[in-house]
Amino acid sequence: MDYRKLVETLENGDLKEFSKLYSDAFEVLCSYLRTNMRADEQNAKDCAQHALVKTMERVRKGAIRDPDSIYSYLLQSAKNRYMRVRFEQRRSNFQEDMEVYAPVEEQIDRLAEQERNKALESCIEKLDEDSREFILFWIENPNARGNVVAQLFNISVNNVWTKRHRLVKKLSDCIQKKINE
Amino acid sequence: MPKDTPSDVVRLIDDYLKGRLNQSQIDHLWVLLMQNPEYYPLLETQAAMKRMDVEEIRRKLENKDDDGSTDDQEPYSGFVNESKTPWVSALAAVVIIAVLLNIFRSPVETEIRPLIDEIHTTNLIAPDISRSTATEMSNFEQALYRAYLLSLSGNAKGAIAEYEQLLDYNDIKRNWVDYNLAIIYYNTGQHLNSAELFQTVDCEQLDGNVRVESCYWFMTNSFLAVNNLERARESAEIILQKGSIYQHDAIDLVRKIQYFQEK
Repeated sequence: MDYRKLVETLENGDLKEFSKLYSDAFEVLCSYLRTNMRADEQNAKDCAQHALVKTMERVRKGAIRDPDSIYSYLLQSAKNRYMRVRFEQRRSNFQEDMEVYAPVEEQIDRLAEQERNKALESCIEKLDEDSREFILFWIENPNARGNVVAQLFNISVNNVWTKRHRLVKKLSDCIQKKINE
Repeated sequence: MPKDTPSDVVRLIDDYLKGRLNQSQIDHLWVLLMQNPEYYPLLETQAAMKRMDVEEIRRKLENKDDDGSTDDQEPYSGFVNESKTPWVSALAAVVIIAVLLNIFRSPVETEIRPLIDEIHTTNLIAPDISRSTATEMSNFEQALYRAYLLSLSGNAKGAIAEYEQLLDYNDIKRNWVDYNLAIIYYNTGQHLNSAELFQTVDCEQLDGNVRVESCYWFMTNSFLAVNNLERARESAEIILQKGSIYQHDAIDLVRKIQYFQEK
């Protein structure tokens, strides 16, 4: 979400563009609350919406001086809102040492949904052999160093990450296409 | 905030998924994702890659080779260019069969198909585990949470086994077990089991209006899947009374069921 663009859309009343910027940020915020803070779907949506509305109000009033801080402000605002909701829901059990964040492995489980996993499998199968071996190698050897991968696949070290990004992007597009089918 | 390149983001996501970032760095990554939402699918894809069963894929590919299937490869695109001819032939055959069948069959459908193929796993209910250390999770809650994580990671078989063990409990959260298991049965095509369990689910006891309405909607579809029109109509009518987001679909459905029942 580009801050200047956001302010412009708010000032110009460009609802279509505003709605796109809003829903992109909404999706990421919801996902953060679900994966990092174990929020359920409903609470995540409520809190993300609350944070976005409050932030938009501040943008309108010109109360956010540093444009780059808007994203951090949004995230913090959503987190605070969710903590408050949790506090109110479970007032009697609330303590200072309450575990707020889920461990990373649990966050991954929440991100890697069944539908996406199935689609990924089929997208990997469709890759040409070189690309498929490159990606499968990364999955099997997550800690492999760039120079080792470069040597193995006969490419420069710089190209290792670029190639990986290109393939991850290609797989993401393929997954999205499959999910929307 | 300095502009990160796509490769930097992929690398940052990689570090995140390897557990190398602290919470403040994780928050920075999510801020970055919010700023550049086009990177968010990369995170989901890489998380899915972490949970990928590579051996299973290799087995499938070997079986494919054994079957003698040959794919033409398109070296620059990264994806195999599949020949469309067999698909076109198969599609043409399906169309011809469909046309022939339509000549001889009655013009009226004989059953109403469910309106959803799968129920998303975000609808499953899990116990609240981020609690104070003063109140430990019970064995029942721990098992419920294990089953929930298995469901999220796509291990439906494991999740079903875990949930089924909880069916003998009389815990206050037993309703959640019935609800979650009914959803997983539905998603795995075990519609009879799903419908049977939905008969015992008390949707009104679930937390939040959205969840209650969704429960009735899934229940309706589960009954449709086993052609139990009477029960499907009952739950769809509850949706109508509640005025939920499923209302329009429920109105159409109730009309359709009425038509079928009066026929």
